[in-house]
Amino acid sequence: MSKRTLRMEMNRVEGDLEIKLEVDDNTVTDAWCVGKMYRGFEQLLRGRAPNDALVIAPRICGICSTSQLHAATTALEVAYQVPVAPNGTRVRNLCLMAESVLSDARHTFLMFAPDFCHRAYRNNPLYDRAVALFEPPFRGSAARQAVQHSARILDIILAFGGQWPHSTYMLPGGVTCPLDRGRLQACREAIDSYAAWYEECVLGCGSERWLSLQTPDDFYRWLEEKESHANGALGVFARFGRSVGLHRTGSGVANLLSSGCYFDPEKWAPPFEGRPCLQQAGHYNGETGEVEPFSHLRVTEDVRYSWFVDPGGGRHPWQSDTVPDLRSGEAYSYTKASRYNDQVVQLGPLSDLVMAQDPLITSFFKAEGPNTWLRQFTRLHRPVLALGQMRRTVAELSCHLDEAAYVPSRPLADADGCAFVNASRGSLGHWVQIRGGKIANYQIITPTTWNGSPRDASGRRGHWEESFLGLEIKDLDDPVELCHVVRSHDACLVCTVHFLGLGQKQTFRCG
Amino acid sequence: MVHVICFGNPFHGDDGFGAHVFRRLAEPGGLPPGARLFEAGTSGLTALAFFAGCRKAVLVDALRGGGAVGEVRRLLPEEVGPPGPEFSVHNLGVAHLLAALPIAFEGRELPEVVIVAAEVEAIQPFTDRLGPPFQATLDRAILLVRQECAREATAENVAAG
Repeated sequence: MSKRTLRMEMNRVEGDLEIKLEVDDNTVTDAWCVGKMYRGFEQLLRGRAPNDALVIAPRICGICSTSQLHAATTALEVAYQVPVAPNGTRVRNLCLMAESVLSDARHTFLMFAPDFCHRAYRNNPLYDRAVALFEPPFRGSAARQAVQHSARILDIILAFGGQWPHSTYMLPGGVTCPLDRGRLQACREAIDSYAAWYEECVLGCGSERWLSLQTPDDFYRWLEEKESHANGALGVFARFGRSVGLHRTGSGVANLLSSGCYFDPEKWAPPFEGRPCLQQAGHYNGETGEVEPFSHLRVTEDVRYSWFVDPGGGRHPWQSDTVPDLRSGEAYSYTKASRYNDQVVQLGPLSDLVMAQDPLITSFFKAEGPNTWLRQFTRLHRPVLALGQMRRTVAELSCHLDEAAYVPSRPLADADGCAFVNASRGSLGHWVQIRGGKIANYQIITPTTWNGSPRDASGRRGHWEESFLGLEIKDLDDPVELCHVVRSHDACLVCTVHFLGLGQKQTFRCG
Repeated sequence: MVHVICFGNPFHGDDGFGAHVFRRLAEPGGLPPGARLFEAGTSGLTALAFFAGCRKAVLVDALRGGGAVGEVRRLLPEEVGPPGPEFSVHNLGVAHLLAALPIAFEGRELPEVVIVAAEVEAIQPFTDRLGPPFQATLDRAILLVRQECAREATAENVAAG
């Protein structure tokens, strides 16, 4: 048996994230997910005026900045227990949906699907079609169209936020931007244009027909029904992915977590109890098969294997801290081990839609469990749902155009707040404690923190670490199978440095 | 109209070269008339919007091109290497942006693109200060940006007769 350690740098400059794998005879036997960058936003926010979080938090991420803004705003309004204008919630939802739709297209067509053009697959019968659609960089037709159309859907966020990313147009109580017919018309046009492209080029059918699919058998019949179904971007993705066995890799842990998606505008109000969401929240217990209600009080953070000062044991974020401690020994990551109800969980679109009981995704999940293919397939399915919900939201805004989008309120000098909102990569949590009118403690758990967590005090691996176990890699110097699993998690790497190179190529570092 | 679009993370040492140029150009009188200034930070494809509404775009960024550290160069897009594979949409950089530009502008007139870039070596994270070679070359980069703006102004005057 030959044993080898494989290290995979996950970005090109500093290496924010590294996957370290132990491989025996081309099969992964152990994995460590190493978050290599300390960011320190939690420490940065301490001592500041609470509203500073509305400017600083969106800078956490250049891709999910709407989610970060939404979470920061919500944490404050929960802390202050202030009413929220239903129109404010509608605008927030609309912008969040636009960010999700944009992210799903870019991730699928610019990140995930281009790996199907890898030379290892040149003998696959679908290879030529995959190249025509997905060839990087931006050569495939789906990739080109994703660039064009994803930019246009941003018009929705620009209509309300003025800029994207890093905009600040939400405040406790609603949104600050005015509502008018012109803005709503711009939204309608952006949605219609995007949906037309999605139906013609991605689905190969109308949204209504697509949403009529309830089971895997429905989907397979649909694939064979028309040439436009089989050879559209979704059809080729689905067939190619299954032909190379992606539905049998990358399962990870069996427990799913979703805090629910998009607050119900008519129900999101003090005392902010429960999860009044348009898509249901829940925790799927992989051992019992039961779905349990979601509560942020069941969240803990453990830092035994993290480069943070360890107070011992798992702590709820309100009792937690994020003080760096680059100690030697067993610690290996700047990511905390977040756990829910003392379980390792996976988050993301798949968890969100299974908890929401989406018929097609849930039936695939029941049939095959979580896997690389299904995580990505969900990102192709989710925009159809989102676009429909966006249309309904714009229609609701039109009906309530004469109502305010913001309810002025007074902050409290001493208060605690917690917000969970949906980001493109799963549920995002912010916790704030305000004392004497200043932020005394701020904790953030992103979806990638959950998924990419290191081992916890009990020695249990994080979800990504689990998802690599048993994976067979044909060529250790060119591990395309690993790329599929990694990308299906859509790692939220931080936006660090971006500089130009002259003809330099990125290579995988294997040792 | 010229759009001057500055890239770089100001908290990562020399990677923030473009951000430092932005700050200087944002000072009163820093930018000639007929030019608009944009701070693109670490944007990738998001910066596509900054190219709309101009005849010429001047990008300012740090560069790892094998030259002497601190050297400021004027480059054309075709001199920039093709984008490599990336693992995250969070990490699409300027090379991806340049590759995507003709696609985003399909059916519309693409602005002329010129890049003013400073050679860097290692990136030092968590500092907002440039290394000594760059302090001295900020002036050179700003001069090049102004020259590009002046060239465009001349071209527009000629076109206007």
